[in-house]
Amino acid sequence: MQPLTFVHISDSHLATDPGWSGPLTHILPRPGAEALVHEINALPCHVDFVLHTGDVHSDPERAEDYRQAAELYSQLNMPVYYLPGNHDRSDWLQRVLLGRDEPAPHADQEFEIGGVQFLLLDSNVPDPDAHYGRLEPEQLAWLAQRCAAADERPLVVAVHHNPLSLVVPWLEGIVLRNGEALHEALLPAKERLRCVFYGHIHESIVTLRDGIPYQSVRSSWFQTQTWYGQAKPFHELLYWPGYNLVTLTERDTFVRHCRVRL
Amino acid sequence: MQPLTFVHVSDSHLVTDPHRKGMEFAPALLAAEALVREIEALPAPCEFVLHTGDVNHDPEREEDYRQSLELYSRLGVPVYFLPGNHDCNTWFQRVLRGRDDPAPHADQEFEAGGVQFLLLDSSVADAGDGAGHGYLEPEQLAWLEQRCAAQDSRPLVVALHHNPLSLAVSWPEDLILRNGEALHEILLPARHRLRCVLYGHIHESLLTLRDGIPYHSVRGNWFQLRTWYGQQEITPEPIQWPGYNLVTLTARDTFVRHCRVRL
Repeated sequence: MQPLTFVHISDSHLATDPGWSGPLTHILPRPGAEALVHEINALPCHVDFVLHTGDVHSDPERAEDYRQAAELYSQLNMPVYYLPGNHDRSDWLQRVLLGRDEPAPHADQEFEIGGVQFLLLDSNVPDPDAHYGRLEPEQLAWLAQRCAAADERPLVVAVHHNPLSLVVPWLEGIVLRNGEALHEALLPAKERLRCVFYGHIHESIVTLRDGIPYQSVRSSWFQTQTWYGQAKPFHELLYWPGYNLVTLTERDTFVRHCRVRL
Repeated sequence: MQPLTFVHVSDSHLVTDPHRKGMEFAPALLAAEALVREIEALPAPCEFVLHTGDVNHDPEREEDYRQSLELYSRLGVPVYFLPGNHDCNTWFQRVLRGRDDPAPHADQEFEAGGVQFLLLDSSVADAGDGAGHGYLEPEQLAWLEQRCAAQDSRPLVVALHHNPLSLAVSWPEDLILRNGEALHEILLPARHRLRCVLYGHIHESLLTLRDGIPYHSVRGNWFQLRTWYGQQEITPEPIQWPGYNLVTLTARDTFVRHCRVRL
């Protein structure tokens, strides 16, 4: 196979009110998101596409609130694939960013690029006050079918929420509730599964279980720093945006952890 | 098993001349002291620190190693050092390992919290000025092979200075571990218990996966670089602050967190 390179970004948290900085910080989401778009366009290597693992918008009140994201990311010189996060409205995101006139119950997507199979799982739950994630039985069945199939293509899976516990007590309430079931569904494909990418936690962590790597990515808004057993959230002092530069070759998967200077 | 947490640092490149900046970056001592203070202040339990080499920049200076020993002994937890291509194995072993009679290689095996750690010395003796590549001698590979083929159910962590696998980047190709492919083959029989391979050398945070084995690099303590697939020339990262990895092993999972220190 030819080398395939994509950029993994997440948690832009764009807001309809340009002065909104959220309850936790004084950092505006828009400058980081713009800086990241400029950075990706200026990358000195070829980038096949961008993967945004959700929380595109912080607090959408109508479908049109996603026009801002559509306009911003349309400045990228390559296609963008989106997943909804806990702050998104899956149906509105599907209408505006995925161009679906009739939104599906979930924004799950399957595509192939450069001979690699990509499976994107929508872990958003309909309750706008819920920040945990969940995969419905039909989504897990859809995934399990693909992971059990006789297929030799390299596989990449993406989801917004952290599938496995990070053993951080304050985060436990907002994880993917059935991440253990997700892991079980992935196991039959582990020889061809290159990586599971997610966002949500605004931090760069690799978790390895049973030979399957789960890789998160920093936000373009603000960053957190966690550790094993942490009781309360802690914001990283360096809030500049981060992204992962991912390259797949015949044998290897490279994930470079990059930052943007604001 | 009880959770085990340690900090992975690398490439401090200490010199005793506090004004020497080198490559226009922050003084190495300033960055090393900042990282030591950060680790001391970590609210997470840290059992030990693993330093994967290039502890010092100028290999011939014994006093530089004395300074490193003094600096890292402030941490109050054990520090396990590996030599890098800039280190002098003799002074490294004499000062940092307390060995009056240095061995040909600074390979080391230890167990912490029920986890087996194998540290491989990839530095090359008498390689001459500017030789930055690494190499594992046949007896080192045999030592590793015996341990990877053994019946052992303990989780395993392997560390060395050089990047074992190619990063598909043009400029450091002559700086890699020359027999990293052989190393990978030897690790394969232990892959079900091998939690990660940790290395430094490239001053960048990069995860490479091959055959289910994760190879994690860590940012430099001194200066940072960035690479990309097919890159032709060495390129600095826009953010030069030191980095470290915070690693936690539990019965089922391995967590590697990529952290930065504000200078």
